[in-house]
Amino acid sequence: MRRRVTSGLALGAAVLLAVAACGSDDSPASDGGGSGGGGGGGNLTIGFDNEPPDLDPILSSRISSDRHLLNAFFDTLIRQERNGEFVPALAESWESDESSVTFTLRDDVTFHDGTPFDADAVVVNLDRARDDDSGSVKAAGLGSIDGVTAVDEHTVRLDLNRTDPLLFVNLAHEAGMMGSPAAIETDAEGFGRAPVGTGPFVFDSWRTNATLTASANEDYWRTDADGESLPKLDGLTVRFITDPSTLRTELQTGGVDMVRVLPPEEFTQLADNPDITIEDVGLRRSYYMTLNATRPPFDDPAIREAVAMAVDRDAIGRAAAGDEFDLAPSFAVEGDWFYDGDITPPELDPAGAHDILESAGLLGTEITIVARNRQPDPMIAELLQAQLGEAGFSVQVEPLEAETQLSRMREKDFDAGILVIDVPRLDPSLSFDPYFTTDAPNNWSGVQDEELDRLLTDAVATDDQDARAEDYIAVQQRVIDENYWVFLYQPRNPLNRRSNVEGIALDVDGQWRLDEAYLAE
Amino acid sequence: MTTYVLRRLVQLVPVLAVVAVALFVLLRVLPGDPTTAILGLEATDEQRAALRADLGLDQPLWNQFATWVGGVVRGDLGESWITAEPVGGVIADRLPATVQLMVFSLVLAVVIGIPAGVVAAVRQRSGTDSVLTGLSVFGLAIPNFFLAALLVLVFAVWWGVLPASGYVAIGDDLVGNLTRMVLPSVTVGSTVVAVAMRQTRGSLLAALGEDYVRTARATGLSRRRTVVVYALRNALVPVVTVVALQVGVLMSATVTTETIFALPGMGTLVVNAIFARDLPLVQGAVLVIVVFVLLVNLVADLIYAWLDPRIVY
Amino acid sequence: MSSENSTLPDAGAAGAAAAEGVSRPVLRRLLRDRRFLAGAAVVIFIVLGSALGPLFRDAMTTPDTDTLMSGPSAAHPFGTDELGRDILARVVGGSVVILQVAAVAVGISLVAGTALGLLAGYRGGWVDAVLMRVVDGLMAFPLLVLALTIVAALGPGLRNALIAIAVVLTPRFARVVRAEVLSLRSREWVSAARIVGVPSRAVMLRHLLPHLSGTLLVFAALQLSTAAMAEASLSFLGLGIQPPDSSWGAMVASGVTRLETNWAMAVFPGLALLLTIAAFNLLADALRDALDAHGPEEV
Repeated sequence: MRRRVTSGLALGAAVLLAVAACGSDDSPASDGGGSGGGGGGGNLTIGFDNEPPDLDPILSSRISSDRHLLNAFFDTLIRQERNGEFVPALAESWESDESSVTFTLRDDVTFHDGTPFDADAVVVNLDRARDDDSGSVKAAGLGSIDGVTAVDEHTVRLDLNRTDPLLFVNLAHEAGMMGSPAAIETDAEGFGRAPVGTGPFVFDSWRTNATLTASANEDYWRTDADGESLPKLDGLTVRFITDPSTLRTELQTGGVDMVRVLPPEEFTQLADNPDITIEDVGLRRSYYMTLNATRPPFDDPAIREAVAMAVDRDAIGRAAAGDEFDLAPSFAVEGDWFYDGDITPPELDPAGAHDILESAGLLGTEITIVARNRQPDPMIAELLQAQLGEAGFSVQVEPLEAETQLSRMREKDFDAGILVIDVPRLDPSLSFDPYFTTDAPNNWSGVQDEELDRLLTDAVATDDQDARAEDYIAVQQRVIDENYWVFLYQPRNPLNRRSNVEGIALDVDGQWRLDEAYLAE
Repeated sequence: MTTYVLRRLVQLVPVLAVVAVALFVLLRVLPGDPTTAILGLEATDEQRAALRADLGLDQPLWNQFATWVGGVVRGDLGESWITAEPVGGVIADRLPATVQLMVFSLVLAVVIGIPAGVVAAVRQRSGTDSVLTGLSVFGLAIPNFFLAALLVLVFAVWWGVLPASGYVAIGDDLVGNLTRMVLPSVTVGSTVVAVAMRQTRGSLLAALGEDYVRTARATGLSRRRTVVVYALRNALVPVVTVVALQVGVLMSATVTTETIFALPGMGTLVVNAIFARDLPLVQGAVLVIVVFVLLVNLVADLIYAWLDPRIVY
Repeated sequence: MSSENSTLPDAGAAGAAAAEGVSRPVLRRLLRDRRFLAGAAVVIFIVLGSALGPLFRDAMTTPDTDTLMSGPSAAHPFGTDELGRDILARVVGGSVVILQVAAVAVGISLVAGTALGLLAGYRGGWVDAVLMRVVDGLMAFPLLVLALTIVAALGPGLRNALIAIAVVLTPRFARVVRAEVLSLRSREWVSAARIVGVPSRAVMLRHLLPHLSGTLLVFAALQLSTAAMAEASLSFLGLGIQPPDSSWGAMVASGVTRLETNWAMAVFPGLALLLTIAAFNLLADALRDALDAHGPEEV
């Protein structure tokens, strides 16, 4: 039985097989010549733990690691640099007023399948992304767009219905990624398994749970600062490996050149290895414990406070991450524009916590902590078990599979839950809205807090960053005051690579852009 | 013989029916569903509900079962919920790594296990016997995830002579394939080698005590010839059976071994699919594994019959 | 092992004689067998460990973030783990799990499998046909895959892991017992008992079961190692024991990731596991050899 190959993709598949069969002889980039892309920068092998189910940008969930890979195949009208600034990409320039944005497009771009990139392609892509019925999970993010019009072959106008501080952010990432209209039309369902964009790499093959390969886009439109053609790499191989210690061993032995995420207990083992560079690029993973505020005992703010007083965050950080962690008041990372170091959780005071429980007559109250059964989560849970035990709780830890844990938490069948998110995200609204608004899909605590709802709504109604920062700081203060959550610690999430890998650029949230990457000799 | 084979094949039908029902029911009891894996954490309840309807999860259970069995009978194992790839295609993609792993393990059993068993039996109670028997005890007792970690540390990290993990198709790069299969095969094979050795030693000792062997020796045949020609042939009969029965055990070993060595085989396929709640994939993969195990057992019985003419059907 | 049944003096007496007459020579053989002595020694250690385990409860379960992953030292002969707990204490404490695996998982499957096997083998007919198809079906699943699915369905934890292991082992016992019963059923004394109208249950329990005890003992000893390995594998995959308790499998799982920097974390529990499983295998071998000469088959 062979994988289904629909007519439109049959040619691509056939070419791919030919390449595979002939070794690298036919590979367009293997000669390392200077013309076009594939400048002899070698083939980069990536170890990736979190395989996307699909590489259709509009199906990729809003907050995910998929963009590490999507960026290889797709471009957007505008790019957002690491510092937050928007720069031209497929659009050479743009003008905006209160109710519209007009983009002037590059005229020298074609999709990997030869389809020209033009205003009609933009209309097709944005209309598809805005259409719930296409299965798009990006529609809400583009909700401020009323209509998309092709003014002429290389000009597109978006009509807007409100001020939306996130519109450009969304357009610069998944929601604004441009796929080949021809490929989408031929097989919309199969598009995500064989993505066709304008990006620096051309999709070759994908074996689920094993490997994904791509080769340099010889006709890539972008050049580097010196005018050299991009991409520099000849190709990409992504190996999907879930086990962190296998990933570490592979990096150590040169089986992969770069790894998406390694937990501290793994990357600290590589610290002294000269072949490997562990670089702190400001990314953190934010571990938190959410308390179920919809049922006793944590429906009582005083008891939640007792929990916050009993948790020794520093001890957890040290055990789980050695020295490689920060303590932060929330999802915010030091340096973020909405970070406020003055927000602090209650002082560590297990005896005080014990007193609170005692006076409430709740000593020995049984609580259940649900955690994912993958390290370091069970270890954090065990430390919390001991710390909360000292304060007088009787703690049961349940390490569960991811799906089971999430469904338990959605059904509010838990007392405390441990989870982690990668920070920073593209925008603080993506960090806070999914967790703290009344209707949020991940409102684990069951928070129904009008104050939080108001603040979070205000924060996305203006594009004045100072006003927004004020709102988000107030949100964080509120969450800490009410102790809905206990923010535990933020282990560093460094860029882990072989020392000869150079030129990795990063999105605001740290996801890779590989067009300028190469392997140094 | 033909009637025997046919009868055995017919007997597989009710077994497969039991397997199908048990598998299906067991999987539907699993808590959680694949919507998070597909839609991500931040999807709304409506999006999840719509997806569940899309996947047919809102249908009554018997209906879902009938749809699946109907498909299986027609040779259609359905589509992965998560990647929408046809399950049959995914399995075809994964079988080679696992089959290769098993074949290599069995080869190790034949090449190392059986000769070692012969040596141990012929030199019964010698130092060689003790060492070999001790090694077999070790091979049976060491958990394969522990052995795998030790092998990777020594051969990949310290000595750097073999890759730590990964897989290359045998047709793409023979050397790359073989170097990557060495450590996993030794890991999975450790048990079978030990089993084959113990069984060979035991059966051969028993055979050497039999009358016909003593007679052969008494007629002046050399010891080597007696062992090889007479005793071993009879002794191998139970070895074949026992080793073939190990195929089921090997499948279990591949689950942890493939995870550690990042091999895209059936073991990782099943485990990942269970964790992601990709039920059509689990059902299809387990069904294929079960059929495979049953067929291997059947073949083992036939070889048994062929080796031992005393058995009449 | 009684022979009270007066209607069948011959068979009963034979069974009793077998049981009586066999046990002493068997024991003597066993005591001369180094494999048995080695295996028994390990088992005694495990039993002692389980008994002493509660004394180390605090050292086992209380994290100490000041002594994280220290190597072996005078204070901690086996070193400490990633939460600063004494590995020696945890290895000793982990022996309880092995006892539970032996007693609960193998125990349940022994009883249930024997019952099903007796029923199928003795009754024959459709009961046999149905039961054996179910047994064949369950046995066709690779053990770990079935156990994994059951634990995923029931939820992780030692109790559920034990249930899962019991479920996957039961058909094995059933098949072995049935095969034995089929061979015994045609014996004269069984036929005689049936003809004179001894109730089926009495025949199964009083006459067949004693004759199975040798086979069952050997087979159960073999399954101990399978069960211990299955528990370790489930724990390795994160589906076994719940914190703060620990099994050797779970300890190896968290230790192997640090094998290069902190070998003690994986090696000591790994050795414990290895020795235990080896001991179970040695015991099974010794028992089989000891019983083969004078086993029930010879009666």
